[in-house]
Amino acid sequence: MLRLELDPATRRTLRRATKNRNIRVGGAIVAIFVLMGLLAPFISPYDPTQGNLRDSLLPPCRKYPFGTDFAGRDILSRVIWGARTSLIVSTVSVFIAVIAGVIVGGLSAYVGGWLDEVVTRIMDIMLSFPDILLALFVAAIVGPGLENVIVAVALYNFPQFVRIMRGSALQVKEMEYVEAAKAIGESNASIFVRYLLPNSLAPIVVHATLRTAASILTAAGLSFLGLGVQPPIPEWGQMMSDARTYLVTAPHVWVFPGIALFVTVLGFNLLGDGLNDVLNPRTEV
Amino acid sequence: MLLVVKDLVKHYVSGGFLSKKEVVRAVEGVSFTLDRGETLGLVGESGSGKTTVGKTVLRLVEPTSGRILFEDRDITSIRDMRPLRKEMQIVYQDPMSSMNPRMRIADIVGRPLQIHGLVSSRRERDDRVRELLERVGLSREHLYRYPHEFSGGQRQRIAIARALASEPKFVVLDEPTSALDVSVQAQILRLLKSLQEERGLAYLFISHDLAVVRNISHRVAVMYAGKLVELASVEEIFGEPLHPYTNGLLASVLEPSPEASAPEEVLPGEPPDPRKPPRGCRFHPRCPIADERCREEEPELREIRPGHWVACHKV
Repeated sequence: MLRLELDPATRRTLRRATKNRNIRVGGAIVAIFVLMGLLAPFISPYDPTQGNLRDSLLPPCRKYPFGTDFAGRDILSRVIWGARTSLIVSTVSVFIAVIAGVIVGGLSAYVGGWLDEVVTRIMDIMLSFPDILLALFVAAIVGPGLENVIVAVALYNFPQFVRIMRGSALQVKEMEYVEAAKAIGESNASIFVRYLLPNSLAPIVVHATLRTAASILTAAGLSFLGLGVQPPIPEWGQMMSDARTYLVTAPHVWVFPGIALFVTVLGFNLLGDGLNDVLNPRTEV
Repeated sequence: MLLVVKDLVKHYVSGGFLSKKEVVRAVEGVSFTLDRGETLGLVGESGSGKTTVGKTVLRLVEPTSGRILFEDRDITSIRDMRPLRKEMQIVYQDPMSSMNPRMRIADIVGRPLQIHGLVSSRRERDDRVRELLERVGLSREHLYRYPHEFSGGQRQRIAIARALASEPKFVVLDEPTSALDVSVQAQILRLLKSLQEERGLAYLFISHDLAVVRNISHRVAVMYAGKLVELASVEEIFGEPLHPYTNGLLASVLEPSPEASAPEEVLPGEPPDPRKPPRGCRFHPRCPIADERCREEEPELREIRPGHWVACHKV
C-alpha cells in the first residue's frame, strides 16, 4: 500500500503554511529568486561577462531594459546571474552552518556537562563579534573568492544555529518521551537521532530562512568591500560597488542590483516570519 | 522475591557554587519488597516522593544511596541497564507526553522488540505489534497511526502495549489512570488485572486515588514526605489502618452517599517542605495525637503484626 509518509505534525504544519500570507508573498519572491538563479543561462538575454564598450553606461532602453555598466555589460543579465551567485553562496553556507550547528548544538545539549560548558563559551565568544565583522575577519585571512565567501558566511552563521539547536534540544531533552525511550532500553545514539533531533528542528527551519536573507546581505557586503566574489563573476554587492563612481550620473547601474538585493532579502524575511508563525503557534497573534 | 528495595534515598542537590546549596529530600530511606505476580500500591499526596521511588527503582533516576535487588541481583550500580530494561517497564500518567509525537504506533510499540532483538524483520515486528494491540483492546488497523489520533484511554492502552512488548516481569504504573475518565479508568484497571493474571506480572502501582489502589493492589504502602509510614495488606490498610496519616487519608475520601455530609477537614495543614523537613516524626505538625517524643525522635518502620509495618510511636 502506498501512503504519503508524512508525520501528522508536518502535515498539519503544511496545511497552515499554505494559508499564511507572509509565506505566500515571501515564498513567491523566493521562488522567483531561485528560478532566476537556476535558469540564468537560459533567461538572461546577454552574456553577463562580455560587454560592448561602445554601449558603456547606457540608461535603460529597448535593447538593454536595465541599461549597461561602464564595461557595456547588460545589467539585466548581470542581475539574473547575480541571483545565481547569491543563491549558491547563501544556500551552501547556510546548509553547512545548519548541519554543523544541529550536530554540535544537539550534542552539547544532550551530553551536557563540561562539553556543553565549553561549547557554549566558544559560541558566546563567536557571537560577541558584530555580525559582519567575523565574516570580514575570516575573508581577510583566507582571501577573497567564491569558496572563501561561503566559508566565511557559514562560519558566521554557525554559532547562531548551535545556540538555537542547543536551546531547542534542551527543551526536548526534558520531555517525558525521552525518559520513556530510556526506559525501553534505547541507546543514547538512538535517543539522539530518533527522539531528540526530529522534535528539535522546527526553530532551525525558521532560522535557516532568516539567516539565508542575512547571508545574502553579508555576502553582498563582503563583495562590496572587495573581499568577496571576484570579477568577472556577477554579484550584486560587487555591481553596486562598481557603480559608486557613477552614483549620480548613471544611477541605474546600482539601482537595479540594489532593488534585486532588497526584494530578495525581504522575500526571505517574510518567508521566515511566516514559517515562524506556523511552526511556533505560541507566537501567533 | 522479585524486587527488594532497601533504604532507598534520593536527594536532589541544587546550587552550591554561587547560590546557596539546597538539598531536596525527595526520598528518605524507603524499603519494600515485591513478589512475582503481586501488586504493591504506593499511595501518598503529590510531592510525597512516590513517583521518584518508582523511577529510582527502574534506575531512570539515579539513587543517592540504598540498594535495589532485582531477581536477587544488585542493580543499584550496574552501568549498562539496557539489557535489564527488557525485564522492567513503566507506564506513565500522561500517555501523550510519554510518546514521541513523530513516531507511528508501529514504531512506538515495536521499538522495544527491535532494541532487545526479539524480532528479526520489520514484518515480524509489525505482526507482533498487531497482536499486542489486539491484546490491549485496540484494532490491528491502528498500526500506522500517530499518537495524537487516539483518545486518552486508547493512548494509555498503547502505552501498556509498549510496556508489555518486551515481556517484562515487573512494571511500574505511575498513576496510569489519573488522567482518564472514570469509566475508562475501570476498563484500564480491568485490562491491567487480566494482563497480570495472564503473564504473572508484578506491579508497583503508584497513585493518590485510594479507591483505585484498593481495587488493584494486594498490598499497600503509604508514603509521607519521602518516607513510608505504613505498609500492609490491602485489607488491613483499609480495614484497620494504624498510622494517623493513613487514617486521615481514608477519612478524607468522600462518601458516595446522599446522606453523607461533607467531611470535616481531617488532615489540616500541608506536607512539609522537602528542603527542610521537621525534626522528629515528619508527620507530627499535622498529627492529632503527636506528643513530645514525636517532635524529637523519628519513628522507625516496625512490624507490628506479621506483614503490617507502621512508623509511629503511638502504635
